[in-house]
Amino acid sequence: MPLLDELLRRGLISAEQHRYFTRAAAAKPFSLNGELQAVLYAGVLLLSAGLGGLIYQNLATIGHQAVIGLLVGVTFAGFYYAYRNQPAFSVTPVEPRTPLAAYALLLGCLSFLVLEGYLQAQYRFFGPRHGLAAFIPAVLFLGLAYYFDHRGVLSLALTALAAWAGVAITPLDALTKNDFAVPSLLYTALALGAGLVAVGRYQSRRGIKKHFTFTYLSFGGNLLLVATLAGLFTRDDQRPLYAALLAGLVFGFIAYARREHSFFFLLMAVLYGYAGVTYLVFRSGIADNFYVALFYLVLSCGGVIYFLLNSHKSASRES
Amino acid sequence: MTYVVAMQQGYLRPSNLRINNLRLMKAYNPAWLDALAVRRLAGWWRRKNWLTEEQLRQIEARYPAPFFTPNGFVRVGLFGFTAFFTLCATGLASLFVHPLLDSGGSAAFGVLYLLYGVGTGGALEYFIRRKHHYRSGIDDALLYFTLALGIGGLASLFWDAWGENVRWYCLLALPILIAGAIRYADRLVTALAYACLLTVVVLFGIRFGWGRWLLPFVGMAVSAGLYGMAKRGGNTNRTAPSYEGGAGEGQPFRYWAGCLWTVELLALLTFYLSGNYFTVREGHAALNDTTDYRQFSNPEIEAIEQRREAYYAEIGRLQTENDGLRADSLRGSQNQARIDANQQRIEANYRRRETLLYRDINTIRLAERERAAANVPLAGFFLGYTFLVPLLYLIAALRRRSRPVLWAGMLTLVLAALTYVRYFPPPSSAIAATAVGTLLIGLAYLSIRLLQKPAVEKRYRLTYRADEDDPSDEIRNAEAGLLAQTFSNRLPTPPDQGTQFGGGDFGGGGAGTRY
Repeated sequence: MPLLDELLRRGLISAEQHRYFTRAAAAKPFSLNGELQAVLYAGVLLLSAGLGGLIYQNLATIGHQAVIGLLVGVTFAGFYYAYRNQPAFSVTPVEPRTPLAAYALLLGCLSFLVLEGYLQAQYRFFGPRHGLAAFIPAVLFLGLAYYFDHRGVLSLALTALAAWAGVAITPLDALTKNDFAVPSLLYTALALGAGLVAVGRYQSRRGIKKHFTFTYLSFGGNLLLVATLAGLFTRDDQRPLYAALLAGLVFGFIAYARREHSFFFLLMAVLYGYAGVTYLVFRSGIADNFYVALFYLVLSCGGVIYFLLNSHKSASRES
Repeated sequence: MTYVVAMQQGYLRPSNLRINNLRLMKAYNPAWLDALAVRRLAGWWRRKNWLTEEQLRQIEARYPAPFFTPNGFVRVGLFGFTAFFTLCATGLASLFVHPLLDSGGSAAFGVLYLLYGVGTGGALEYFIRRKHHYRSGIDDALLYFTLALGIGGLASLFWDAWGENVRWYCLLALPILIAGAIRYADRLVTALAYACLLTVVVLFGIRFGWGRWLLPFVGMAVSAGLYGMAKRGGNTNRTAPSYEGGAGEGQPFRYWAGCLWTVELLALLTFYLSGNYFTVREGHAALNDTTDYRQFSNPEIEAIEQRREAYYAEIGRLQTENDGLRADSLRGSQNQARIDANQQRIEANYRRRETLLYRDINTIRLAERERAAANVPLAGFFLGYTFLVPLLYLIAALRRRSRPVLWAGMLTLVLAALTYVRYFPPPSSAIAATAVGTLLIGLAYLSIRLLQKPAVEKRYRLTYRADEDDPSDEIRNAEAGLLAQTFSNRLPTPPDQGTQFGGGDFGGGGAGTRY
């Protein structure tokens, strides 16, 4: 290969390395990893969706006991397969012994949700205590996520936990599905967001499942920022309070992003911060004139671009 | 083919090829891009511990690539804010010149857009040449704005002449998009240019009687031709596997490796779609719509039209009668009853005319269309094509170890399944989903078990192991978020925590009360 020849000629690699790299490049197998995982994922999705539909369509012919039996069977088969292939618990990342185990666990979790929904719909299993129906998967999935070291199940657990508290937390739903005009919901969201961020920070400090930190911080931080912004928009009497809170959160996340080189949080903080500042500017009446408003937007966008360019540079110098 | 041989024998240095010396063809410094590939490769060797730290440093010193390429999230932010900035800036500028625009018509807009395009294009070149931006979000956004403004500006200039003839605008956009794709080697622009080219072929093809019938085969021929070109240029298979996704080391067209990869994938997809039963059948019906009002000749519809005329006449007669009755004020109450009865009949006639007749005509038109669709020529051939081509793609992908062919195979297999479900609907979608899901899991399981056998891996040079040592953390985090987003609706309903409708300033009223 011309490149390797060039490196050899320039004395950057040894003749032995040249031979080795040439052989390694020629012998390197074609990886089907991503594609097979996509097939597994699609299979699990289809199977759990199919099971969900199946039980409601065929109740008359197969009967309640058979339906419950089938769901319990699939759930336990998934959990059992995952359990059999799971090495001992550790606070550091753990790889299951077979790549299928993670998907078996996911299948178990999803069919558990189908089973629970079915029990509630058919037998009012939890009666009027809807909270319990969200609390049980939250606790179960949280335990499973830690034992099996599965980030996907952790995110399901956090979603269930938020649902139990009455808040929609997944990135898109947090923006669109929460009615923060209700004060109790706003405070719940603030408390839950702060709690998740605190747990994430505590864990990463103590070195427990450090790779879970991102999920905690992104779910919690997003909820916290959405709720703060909603408070800013809806609580006119407490506007300075929410403005200060937003400023604190934005600076906190930017500092965290720079320190940890986790630019997701930089982007998140910049977007929410920009929305808050722009709201305050327009609310103050400075930019009531259309020309002035556009002029403000041009200037502020330029400012954000300048900030992003420089924050990235300073962050990459540190590394 | 000669250059491949020449390359392999080392006679032909890529830098000696004329194409590399044309400054206009490449916006980004090609030497730095090559260096980037070397550094990526060296980094991989270092992670494998095949290089010493000292060697890595030497290689990086010898191959500088001082591009500004930020992290993906920063790139997203820069892209969004640059796009918003450009929109606001052009909007602000337009405010100042709008008295001129009002008098000038679409041509004035065209000139203005072209001027803006020159501005964004200048900024683009500035960021690339002076600031060394490469895929920074700023250059992406400015490139798309420049192309959109250029094409939009020219289209506005020709608006008065061309009106709504889409094909001329596509023909106009095509060279601009191709030039943009070549100079900036951008995948999205490449894909747009490809789509534009195919649209031109289709729009000009359907203007001829024979073109309509040959369209599937024209589509296949064009796709096959473009695939061949991309393959010869990109040579993605002949490149050593370790450079996959890299710069196509040593190939004369490696600057465009990403573009050629995109064309390869798209060509495979459009080759399939040209002969897919759904597209051929429905496209045939749409192009040969015999019930089109312009060529109206359906006796059933004519009969309905006549009935509609009769309703009109009846309504007119009843209204005249009512007018007469109202004028005759002597027998007030007696007349009122007849007036009311007539009024009811008038309304009933209106209803029949508005609803029933239109519905009838629509039913007939749909049936006619369905007849045209069912009469698609060579139906058996296209049905076979729909289900065979994906399998051929998959076999070819595994035999030749080609990523674009593999992806095309997987995507077209999904399309084939959707086509099957459309024309042969299964009795129960739940059973079908369960069966297909189980099948997919089983298939993936068997494949993984098979690929994990060292003998299989050695013989077929296929593996289940990930390309990098470990899948990147960011991908796994994104997966987790996606999972929660997908399944948030499966979770049990939470309690109604005092959430009530109304009073929502945020997000539009009661939208937030359902979780």
